[in-house]
Amino acid sequence: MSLVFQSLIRRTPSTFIARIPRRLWSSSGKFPSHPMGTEEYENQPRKSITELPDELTERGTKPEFISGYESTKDGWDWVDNVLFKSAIPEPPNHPTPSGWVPPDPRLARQWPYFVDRDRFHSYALYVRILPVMLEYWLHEQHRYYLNIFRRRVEYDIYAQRTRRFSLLELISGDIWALDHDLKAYLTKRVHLTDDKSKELPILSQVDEIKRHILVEGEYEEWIADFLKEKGF
Amino acid sequence: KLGIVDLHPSIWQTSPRLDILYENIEWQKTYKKIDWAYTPPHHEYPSMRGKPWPQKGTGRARHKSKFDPQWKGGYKVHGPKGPTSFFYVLPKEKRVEGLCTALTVKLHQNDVHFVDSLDLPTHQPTYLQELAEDRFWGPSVLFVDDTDIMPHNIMFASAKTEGFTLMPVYGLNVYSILKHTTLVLTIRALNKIEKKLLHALHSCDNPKDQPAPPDEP
Repeated sequence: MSLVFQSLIRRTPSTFIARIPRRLWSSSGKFPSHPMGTEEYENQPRKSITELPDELTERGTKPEFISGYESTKDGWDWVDNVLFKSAIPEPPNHPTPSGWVPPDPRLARQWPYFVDRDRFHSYALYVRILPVMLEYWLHEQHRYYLNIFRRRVEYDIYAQRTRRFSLLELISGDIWALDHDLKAYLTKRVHLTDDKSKELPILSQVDEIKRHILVEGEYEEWIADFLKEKGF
Repeated sequence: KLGIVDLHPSIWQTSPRLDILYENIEWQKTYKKIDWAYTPPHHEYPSMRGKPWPQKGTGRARHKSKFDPQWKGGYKVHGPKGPTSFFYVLPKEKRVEGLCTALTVKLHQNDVHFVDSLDLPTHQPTYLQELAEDRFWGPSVLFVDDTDIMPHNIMFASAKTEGFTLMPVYGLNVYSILKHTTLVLTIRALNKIEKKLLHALHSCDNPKDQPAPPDEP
């Protein structure tokens, strides 16, 4: 469109000129600069968006269904097996080949604490990964909080520059007694492996309000063995 | 006293999680909150052209417009913009655990009473008040029945009494349980609550797999 005409349109207030739709006209004004501007294109018969264009339909290629069918209501069990269900089934009363062990209430009753199973009948034992607080100068201390954003934490995990913990939840009763027994078991197990790098004391954090124990280091399998021995 | 009621330990004898109780109460307070504070930004102020007085000559400070942020009555650059909502939905497991903790706490502080039904002989509020005083029920009582249609007499009596609330099972929430001193449940309400809470505690509903079931009336 001519520059003079454009600036004329823009400077005059809109009350004087109704904005005539000036779409896609060439600068000479004799023909449209794009096929989308033609009347022919705009007056095409339009299909609905939900219909596929003719090239993509399978009307010609797919064979028609020839034989008849009958509907029955037998075999519902096969269908029921496949459906998603919210109710969790009860587990068997014996150890399974995968290594799952049912809880032993007789054995568990003697301790002053109790560790419950979660709704899937497994131990409430999880891994927690936190970033390391790098040493920052005093004027950069706020950077620690900026660096806890997810991307930075993922890079820390990639660079293996993280602190790892094992978390044991769903504890009731005397948490400190459980903490003491757990640390004793883990230190004994560490001595058995004779690993020089792991001779440092096992540190743990007890939260009485959230009812959990956080152990520094990835001791999930050993804590699971501890719980199996206690019968939880 | 009519008899003994059996209660399920998963609901009525949990290890009480006070942090989850706090989160439930905070959720109930904040999810309805909308902050209506709004300060118009600079493009919603009247014309910004025009110096209030010439740059030099007058002994006053130099200014470009009357509505800059340093002026009284001027715009604010990063002020509160429009209604902000604080809506969020607490995860289902935390809400369920909050209810179980609240019920456990109430039971072990001797503030839960079970009743066969909420039928009263009269609609006089004094009858209900004297009954509550005789039984040492606190200043505020929460009556929970299984349906939302209550008998007429208790409806009139509790409407006139301050602190007595009627509630169906689907309205049970942590804030109300802790706000009212005493909790009075009918046996039918107890059965319904236990059934629903046990189902929620021992099932896994992935919302992607199936739609939520409709609430029972």
